[in-house]
Amino acid sequence: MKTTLLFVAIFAIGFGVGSADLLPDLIAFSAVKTVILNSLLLFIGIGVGLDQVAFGQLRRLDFFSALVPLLIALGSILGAGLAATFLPLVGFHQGLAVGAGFGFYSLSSIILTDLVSAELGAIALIANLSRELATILLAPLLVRLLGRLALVASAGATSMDICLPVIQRFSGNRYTVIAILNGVILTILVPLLVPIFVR
Amino acid sequence: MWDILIFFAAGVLLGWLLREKKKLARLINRITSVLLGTLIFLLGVSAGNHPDVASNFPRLGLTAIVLALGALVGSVIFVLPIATRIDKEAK
Repeated sequence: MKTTLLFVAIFAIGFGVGSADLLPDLIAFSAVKTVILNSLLLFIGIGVGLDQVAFGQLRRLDFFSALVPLLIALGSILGAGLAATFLPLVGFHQGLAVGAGFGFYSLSSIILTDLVSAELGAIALIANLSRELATILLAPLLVRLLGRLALVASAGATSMDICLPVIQRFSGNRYTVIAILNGVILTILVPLLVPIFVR
Repeated sequence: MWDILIFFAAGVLLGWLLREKKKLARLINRITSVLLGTLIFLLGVSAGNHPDVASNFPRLGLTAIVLALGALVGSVIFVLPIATRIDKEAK
């Protein structure tokens, strides 16, 4: 939660600096961005590979628990795609791509900035940040109205890290295994699926 | 597109090879956070600098929030059919 708000603030400061034209050298800037982007992908990958607790949970995978991330992926992608058809600024395929971020804002926004535009990257960043914030803020309500699994679905890929404490608290301890499993699978799916929809 | 997959996959492989180094996780976590903060700052700068993005920002934000809502509601609806089954299984 604190980190999420910090990133919102950093984005806002960057936005201010950008609109005031304080950093005019955009050519050097885009090269720096590519280097940071690739190192970030590498380090996010290392973090996932290092996480033996998370990887160990993959052994518990059976038919129904494998179905959870797949259904969340499908619902998330189609839900955002459907929402996009009502929105003038994004096309159906762009909506599908933003939905395939599954709340993993860093990865989805850098991929879309790189492949499409700064505009879609910013949309993906705000959309996936909002999904994470909404999950944290609405957690008790989601569980009460739609059940314990609904909170895991809402968290998407963040069910293994940022939203895990929230899931443990409101869905209960016994949901932490499925939450981690779900997070690992969705995290791996983000870089595989996001580029497909915007090619 | 391929460079994205290659950097990510190389990271996962490297992390898996280094899995015995328990203390590394915190360092990697810190590096990721610093890189992420820098990148989000740069994303903010390019968004603010970009005439289409900056002049359209309230509409972009609204678009993003509607997309987030669509994704959230969609995923919750899709897991509802198996929620009872998972609840029995989760122990």
